Amino acid sequence: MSEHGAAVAPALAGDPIARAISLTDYVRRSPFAVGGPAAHKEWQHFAILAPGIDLLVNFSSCDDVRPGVTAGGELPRVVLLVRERAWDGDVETFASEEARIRGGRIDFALRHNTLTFRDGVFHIAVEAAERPIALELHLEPRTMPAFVQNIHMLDGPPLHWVVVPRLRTAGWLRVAEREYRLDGAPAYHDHNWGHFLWGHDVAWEWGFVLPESESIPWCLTFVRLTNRARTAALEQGLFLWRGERAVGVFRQHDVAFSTDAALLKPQRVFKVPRAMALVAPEAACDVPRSLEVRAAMGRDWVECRAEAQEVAQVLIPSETGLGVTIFNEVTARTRVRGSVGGETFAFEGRSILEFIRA
Amino acid sequence: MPERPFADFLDESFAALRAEVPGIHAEMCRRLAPREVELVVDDERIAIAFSREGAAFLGESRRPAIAVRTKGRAILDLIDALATLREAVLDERLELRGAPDDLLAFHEGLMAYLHGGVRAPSFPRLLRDFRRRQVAAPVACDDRRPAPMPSSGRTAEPREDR
Repeated sequence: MSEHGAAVAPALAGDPIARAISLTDYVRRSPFAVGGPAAHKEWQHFAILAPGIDLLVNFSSCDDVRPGVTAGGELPRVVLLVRERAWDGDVETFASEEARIRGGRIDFALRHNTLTFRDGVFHIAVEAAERPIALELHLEPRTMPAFVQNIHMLDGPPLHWVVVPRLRTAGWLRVAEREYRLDGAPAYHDHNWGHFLWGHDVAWEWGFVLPESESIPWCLTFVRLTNRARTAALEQGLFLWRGERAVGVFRQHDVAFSTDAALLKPQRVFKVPRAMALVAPEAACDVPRSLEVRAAMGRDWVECRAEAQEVAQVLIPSETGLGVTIFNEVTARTRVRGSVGGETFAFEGRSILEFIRA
Repeated sequence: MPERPFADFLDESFAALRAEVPGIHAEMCRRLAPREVELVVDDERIAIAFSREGAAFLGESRRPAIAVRTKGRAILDLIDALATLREAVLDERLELRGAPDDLLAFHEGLMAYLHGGVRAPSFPRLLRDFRRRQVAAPVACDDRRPAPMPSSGRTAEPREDR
């Protein structure tokens, strides 16, 4: 049973990062069941980049707006994508009675799958029902969060975003008989919530860059929201951290995105949930081979160029028609250089890029 | 009475579409009307007459515009994305017969059915039941390839889908 609650978990006085996360990153919950507007969507997303492994874990809950279902119902889900020898993963949807999601904190229990933020660390345990994949992760935030509010949407109220771009992993992943220790692997986390329908007039391009070496203090994330035709940007930004602190925030006209006209051409695309491949079987995908983001404001500037490598797709039925919203999750290598606050820098890192196509 | 697991699954799935996503059920019927489809899945032969009002299960085939022949395990391979529809057709795990216009209409109707299936709340349970029956069924050597395409049967009275 999902729970609504307003209380924010007690902030941790001694740890400013944990305190900031507790105060910004808590689950908002849907107001639909108690008379509020429908179409709430909210997800807590994690990406872990270990040697030879890309791992995405996403806990979400969306209002169930399908006709014929009880008003106020939700669709709690865990999305799991793993790339090691090949892609594997699944999208698992849970019944309301199998789900407990506490508002005002980060505390999901979807059957035996759990996500909590406790003692300044994200704790995740997942065991897929239909795939031989299990994991236990403890993710320690290494940067302050950024809280980006009121991202304009064309068809409804604004979207909100909290991002913690750098965490340090402890834990393990098991795929079939192969078990991997992930200790020390860099990780990324963000959290989105808002009211909208899949199929609305929106697309986005988003990504992050994490250096593989812990000694490099820089990391960044960028995003561009557009209309479906990608002729008008609704929001764009690049956010740069040095150590714990966000040291560069570039928004709107300070940022320019450009994408390669040439597209990735995989022979076959891994898709979840698998049954959705019946309605979106195409291997052709609208993912550029490279993406460049340039940001400049005053004397500060950042440039990054991501070279896409492999793609997997998360497919969601449109809620406005007989279409499919496609989340292209793309591994990439990215070169970054820039100058901020009089300090120049250049590094290479790994990225996950996400291209939403509706 | 012989077991008809695929007919039962199809019957229940049409009922679920009509109750839970009625607009998509109507769209499926509109795309397939006014055609009769004959399906042979494993040893079951099913005939369905589509009209704009709905889908009617027939006791036997009359004059099918589209004939489909496959195996239950091939259907599971499609659901599990082990093969695409195109691949299943090309390697004869899914055989289709009909005039091009009728086959195009069948594809459009099938797409509507699948779009309904991924949205209807009851479908995961129906699929689990279908999978359980298929997994429990004995596996033949060439179990994913269908038997030879049968000829159409004689006229029978329609039975409305429930």
